[in-house]
Amino acid sequence: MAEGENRLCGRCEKANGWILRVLVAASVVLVLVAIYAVLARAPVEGEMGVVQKIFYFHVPSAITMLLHFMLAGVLSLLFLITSNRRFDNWAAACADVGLVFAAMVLISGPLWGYKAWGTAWTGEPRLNLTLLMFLIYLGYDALRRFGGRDLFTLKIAAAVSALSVPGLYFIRTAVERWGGNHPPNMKAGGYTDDPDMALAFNLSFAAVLVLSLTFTMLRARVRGAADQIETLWADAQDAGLDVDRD
Amino acid sequence: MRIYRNLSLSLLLALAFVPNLWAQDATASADAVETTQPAVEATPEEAPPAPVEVPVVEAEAEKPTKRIQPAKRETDGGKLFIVAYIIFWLLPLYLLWVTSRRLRRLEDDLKELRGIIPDNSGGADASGDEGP
Repeated sequence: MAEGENRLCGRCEKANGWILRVLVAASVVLVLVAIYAVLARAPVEGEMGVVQKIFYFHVPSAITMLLHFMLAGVLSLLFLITSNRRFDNWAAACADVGLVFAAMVLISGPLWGYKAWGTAWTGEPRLNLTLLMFLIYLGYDALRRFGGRDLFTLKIAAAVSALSVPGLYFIRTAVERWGGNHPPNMKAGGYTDDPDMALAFNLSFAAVLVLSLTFTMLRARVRGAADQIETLWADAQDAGLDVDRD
Repeated sequence: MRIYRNLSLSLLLALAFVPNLWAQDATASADAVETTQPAVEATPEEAPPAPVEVPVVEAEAEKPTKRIQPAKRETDGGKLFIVAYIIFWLLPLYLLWVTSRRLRRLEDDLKELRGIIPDNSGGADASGDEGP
């Protein structure tokens, strides 16, 4: 891969930097506003009490996790078809962010479930499938990290990611198919008539989404920069230059 | 490596916090069970009430073990909520900070390398990371 394949033009780099700064600022503001809305505006639910407020980031995290894993799968498929490393970098970035939000879902869910259902892990299909998906992407990430940078290894990882996409559909429809303690998926129009609850949920969703976008962009840039460094270093070695890798 | 370290840190944090909370809740539940007997308010003027004889069968029915299970549901939701919120918001923000630091360092290294190694790519305006 030529170094230029991953290199940005000056204007693109500048624009990219600005987009990133705006996204970071928007993330911080939205996170603070969402926390305020959840803590101060949203009412305490009658049956479950204050622990129900975990809902305001548990559900957006789950949706964000599904979105990122799906994106990772689609981008991996594009990488398999085109062999373009940019698709692979973005797929890996999406998978990284999906993993972070999957961890959030798997931590916050049991905390909420322990209070609401009396047990942290019910073992219902949706929970098991989510854990399985988390482990599949952990394997994908490990394969990329320890398998080397050659195209063959990256394509195996991409195939794992692309083939896991149907699993996301089963997570989404698990409750309707096999039942469980989770409520059915939210329909358009929201889950509540309470305007404060709806506001807190929408703000949290926006915060989580913008945070995840920022994170994805950062990860993709890190991967791109690391790739360029590797390529430059290999070029330097090929040219017989004495460059200290550290 | 970093993401694995951070993920394991968060999981460890959760594992360290949650059993403590559960243990506290179990103790609280046991306390709650012991104090759920109808308490007789003793005012200073009144003499303490005479002990009431409880039939053995009824006393067995009141075994605390039978009540601990439902009492678990009386977990302090506030604590769980706070733990979840701390993990949820602090971890991504921390990861964001760590990733941006790493990016800055990598970009500095890249600049330095480009200064040392002559650019023979010839495709300086090839778009790269701005999106596939």
